[in-house]
Amino acid sequence: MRKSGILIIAVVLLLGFVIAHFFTDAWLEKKIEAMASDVVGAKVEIDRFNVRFLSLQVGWGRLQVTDPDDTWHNMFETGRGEFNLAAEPLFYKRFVIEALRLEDIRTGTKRATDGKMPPKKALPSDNQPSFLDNAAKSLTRQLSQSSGIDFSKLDGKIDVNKVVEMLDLQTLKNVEAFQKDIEITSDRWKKDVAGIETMKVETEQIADKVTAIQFDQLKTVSSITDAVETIKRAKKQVETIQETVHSKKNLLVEDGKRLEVEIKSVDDWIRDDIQRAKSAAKIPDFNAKNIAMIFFGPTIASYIAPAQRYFKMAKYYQAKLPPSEPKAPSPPRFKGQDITFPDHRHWPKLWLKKMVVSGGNHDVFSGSVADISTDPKITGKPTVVQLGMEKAEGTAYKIFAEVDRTKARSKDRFAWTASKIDLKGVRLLKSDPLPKDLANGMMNLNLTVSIQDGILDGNLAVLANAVSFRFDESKKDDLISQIVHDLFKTIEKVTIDFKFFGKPEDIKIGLQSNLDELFSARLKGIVGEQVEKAKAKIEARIREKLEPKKQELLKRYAEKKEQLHQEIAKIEVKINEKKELLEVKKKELEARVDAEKQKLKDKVDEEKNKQEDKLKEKAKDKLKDLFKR
Amino acid sequence: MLVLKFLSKLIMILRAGASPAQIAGGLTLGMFLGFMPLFNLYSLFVLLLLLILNVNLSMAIFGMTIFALFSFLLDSVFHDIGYMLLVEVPALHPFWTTLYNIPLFPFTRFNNTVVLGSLVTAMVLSLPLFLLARLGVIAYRAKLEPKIKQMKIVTAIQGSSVYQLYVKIRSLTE
Repeated sequence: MRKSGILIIAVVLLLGFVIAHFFTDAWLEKKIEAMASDVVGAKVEIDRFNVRFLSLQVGWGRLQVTDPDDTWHNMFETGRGEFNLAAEPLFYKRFVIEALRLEDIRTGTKRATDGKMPPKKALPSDNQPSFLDNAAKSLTRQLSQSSGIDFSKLDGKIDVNKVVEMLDLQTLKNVEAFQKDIEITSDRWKKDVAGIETMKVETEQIADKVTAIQFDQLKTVSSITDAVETIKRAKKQVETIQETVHSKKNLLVEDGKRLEVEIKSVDDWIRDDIQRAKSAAKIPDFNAKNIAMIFFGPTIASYIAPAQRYFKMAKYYQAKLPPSEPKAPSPPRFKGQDITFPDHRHWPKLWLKKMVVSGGNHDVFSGSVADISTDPKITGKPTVVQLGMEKAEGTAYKIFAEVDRTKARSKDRFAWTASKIDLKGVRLLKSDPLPKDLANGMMNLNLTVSIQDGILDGNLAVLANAVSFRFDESKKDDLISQIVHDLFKTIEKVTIDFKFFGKPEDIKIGLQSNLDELFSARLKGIVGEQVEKAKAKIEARIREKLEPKKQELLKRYAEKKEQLHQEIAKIEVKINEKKELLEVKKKELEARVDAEKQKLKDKVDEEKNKQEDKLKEKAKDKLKDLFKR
Repeated sequence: MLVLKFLSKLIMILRAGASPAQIAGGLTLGMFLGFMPLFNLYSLFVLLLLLILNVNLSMAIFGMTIFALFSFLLDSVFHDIGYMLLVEVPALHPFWTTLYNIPLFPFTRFNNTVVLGSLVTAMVLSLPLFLLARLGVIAYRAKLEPKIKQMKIVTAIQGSSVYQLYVKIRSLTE
């Protein structure tokens, strides 16, 4: 045992404590500032950072996070913050924070110095549109589609001819293409029939050859057998021809079926053209479902882009968190490979059990974030965010988010509740004669969104009370404007129920409102007649233009079809006749062969009997001679 | 000059008052430090042993340098040994799991293939190395040292002005 060695250890330990006591705070402060600045992309500054090793307490006096978009202002800053590290997990190289308190959080505060960071390489961003990008795009597209309502068309004064002329009628194009198809198919049929004609001639020749056989001239068995073989061959040839004709006929039938299906589409083409003409004329369908969509769709769509920006920001910072385990265990050889074993303690590498936040500039907010961890599968607890804010004027917001990554199938839930939102001056949409904005009103809204297995399911419920609408000063005195004005004057309460569901690229939406029934019933009653008249006009005009084409097409198709069927039937009859003839000839010859065979057999039997009789006589004579001796 | 200094230091260690066991112990602990990657609890433990036990420190530093050079070549072998023990022997899994769940053990980085491989290799080689080194020192002192002293080249080097100058400078710095 070396005494000096123990002394060295003691000195080293003492030095370590002294260095830790005087320098750790500053060193850690710089380290954390650098790491956080790197994550945020602008300066993060911590003041009065301190670590107490014995109590495992970490705290700071002030934290400033610069807004990367405006480096002379802070995104937020906090007052005193502190947290305690749990002691036991540290022995296992795990960091568990029981509770973190962030008080006096203020946003948008002015900075004394510029918080800009030196430019660095841009973060690698995948060019693939994300789940939310796709969802937002799909929602915006569907909501914006419903903005094209032209109230001026409601008086029924529509230049039908102009609309029809303007419209590129698809039925005409389709009919033209269909006619071409009939011609091409008909030409092919003609070629096929010509081929069958050749076969008909061939059949005639075979039949002639068989008819030429003179049965009386066939004296020998071999000549008869040859004749039978000739007929068999001929029959086989005819059968082959018959099969070919049959298959060609089948092809023609298939073509016919295809054309029949297409013929039935003609009515659909006409219907589509009528619908397009109505859209072009901007004649709205006043059913209960789409009034709210027309009215609120574009307004809701305008809120999607900012919401998407916040989701993207959250995703950006989440991506910067270190993963709990390396994705692929392939470090450089000399560093080896860390093998993990079942952890009985159930602690992830980093686990912030609870964070309590409070603060606000003029408005007061408070809330908590629970269970942020590098591996939620180990903790078994989803990250839950709950925030509440109350504005001086009484508007209150509540945000709830649950990000569940505890199982293989992720599940996220978001809820946003806002109450007592003042609607005074809120713009609606520009389309005349609808109101331009709200003069008064108080709104409560509740948005819930859940994402599971890549499927979005959301609902936005809005309730606006004590509403009054404001119209454009340059008020029109036409009937429609008057109706719309009168209608909106009576509305005091608006309810909207907006639902969206589905995969991001194919989201189904539904928007319902108390305005649906109200608006459609009133407007339909007044202007319904004009609208229906206009619709009927357009439909009649298009039918007038397209019906002759349809009839012509049907007639042409029927003619071609009939003509062809007749041709084929004729050929079939001819071939069947020849086949029957061959069958008769074959049977006759076979009978003849059988008769000749029988004749031959009889002859042989007779000869055989004669020989036997001769032998018997000879034997008798011999026996007689023997007895005589 | 560096090689000369290195050789002279080695000869001085072998000739010095330290016992063969102290020299062999220093070399063995130096091997542990040289083989294992730094910054884990094992290295700290070996370092403490070096300071507490009465082993030859110079020999430990010498051993650490030599075996650290070897470790660069042997890292792949250490990885293979560590991987085999940690992954390919199922019978050992309960043992590793138990260690994994013992306080402070994660800091030893025993679950790293190179750390475990080098530790096991050092442990296996420690006894033979200790015995061989001890025998080597005894043999050197008994047989080789007198002969080396009498070698012409040694006397020539020792008599040279460069060596005399080096001895003077060294004595000044000591």
